[in-house]
Amino acid sequence: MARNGVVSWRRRSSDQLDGSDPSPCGSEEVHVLAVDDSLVDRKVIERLLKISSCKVTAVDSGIRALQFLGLDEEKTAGDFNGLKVDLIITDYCMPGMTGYELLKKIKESSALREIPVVIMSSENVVARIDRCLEEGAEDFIVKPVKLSDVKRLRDFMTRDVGDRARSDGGGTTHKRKLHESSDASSSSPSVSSASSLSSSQPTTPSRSPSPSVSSSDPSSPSPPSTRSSGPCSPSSLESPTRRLKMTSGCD
Amino acid sequence: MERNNHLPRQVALMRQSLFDQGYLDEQFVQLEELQDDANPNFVEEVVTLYYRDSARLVASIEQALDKSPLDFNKLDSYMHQFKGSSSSIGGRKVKAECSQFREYCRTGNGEGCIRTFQQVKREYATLRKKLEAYFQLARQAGPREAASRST
Repeated sequence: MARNGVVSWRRRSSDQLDGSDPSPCGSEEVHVLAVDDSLVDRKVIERLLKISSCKVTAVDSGIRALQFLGLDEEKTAGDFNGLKVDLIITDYCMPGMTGYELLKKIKESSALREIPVVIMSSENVVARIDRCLEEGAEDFIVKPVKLSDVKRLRDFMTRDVGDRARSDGGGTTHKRKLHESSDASSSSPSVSSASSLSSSQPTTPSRSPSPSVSSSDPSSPSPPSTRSSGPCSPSSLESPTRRLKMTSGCD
Repeated sequence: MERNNHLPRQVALMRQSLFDQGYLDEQFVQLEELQDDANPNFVEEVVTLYYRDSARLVASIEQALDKSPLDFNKLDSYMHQFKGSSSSIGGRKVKAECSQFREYCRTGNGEGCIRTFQQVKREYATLRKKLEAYFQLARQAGPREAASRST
């Protein structure tokens, strides 16, 4: 069953925001749509996001996500703006529509394609990660999701929201700044600063294990050992998207 | 109401032993980090939800293991979900048994699956008992202990 987090139909005033919210204009709170068929994971991701000062709407399937986004009801972009979603975070493995299929549908929609989509998966499979990033996913998080993962996304989103508000004069276009090559270098410092906050625990770099996880073996399992000590869980703090952008230079 | 002054220490010791004995991993700590005065029982809520929600998966796997021939894809799919939830609450031993089960699915080893599933259930039940005892003691010790963070 779908669970709805707090959805605000109007912009919140800055004094309702968490004091640690770094948003420059302070008038926009990040609204995240979380999609996961697991009840336990929905509860956790919802809490992770709320504690990171995000508004959350949690749904249990790709279909419901599209319904929420207004995609299946022939709504125009104008109608959609009332429920402005700043980020979609979705599980990869879901019955019915997978997270990958949801990603594709979103990127195929002129109304929605600008919304950043982050994929979560318990399986650290390079081929899968590549496929998602190539389809336009902003980032890929290996489950279980940690507070540092959400914080990293949050910082990126807040900066993005703030920049948008500044440049558009409060407009609601959802630009994926990460995909503009001119922003690649400017986004790096914020990644480092966000990552330095989580230096005490490893984050979820899905690309780093390439040496030990060969891309010709798509079914390699994630190790059962704890993430902080496993050989396949290096503590590099860059997101796979950023590394991909910087090494391959693709947009 | 009289408080046992030794309770906080007992709670801390019990908590530490759950990690030392490998029942819990780092993810449990992550959940503890999400507790605050407004949500002092978050971890217990998640764990309760986990046991309630995964009961149906356990039953489905049990049923599927009774079939002949075994449908390893279906078994693997159920176990993938079960492993995911177990991982989300930091259930280290349960998660490890789940991984073993999935390995047997991958290699089509039915006996391995059946044997390992007994281990899964055993660890699942043990963890439940230990966490119930822990949460109960933590509640007795007072709200601050229930929301205790890692040292």
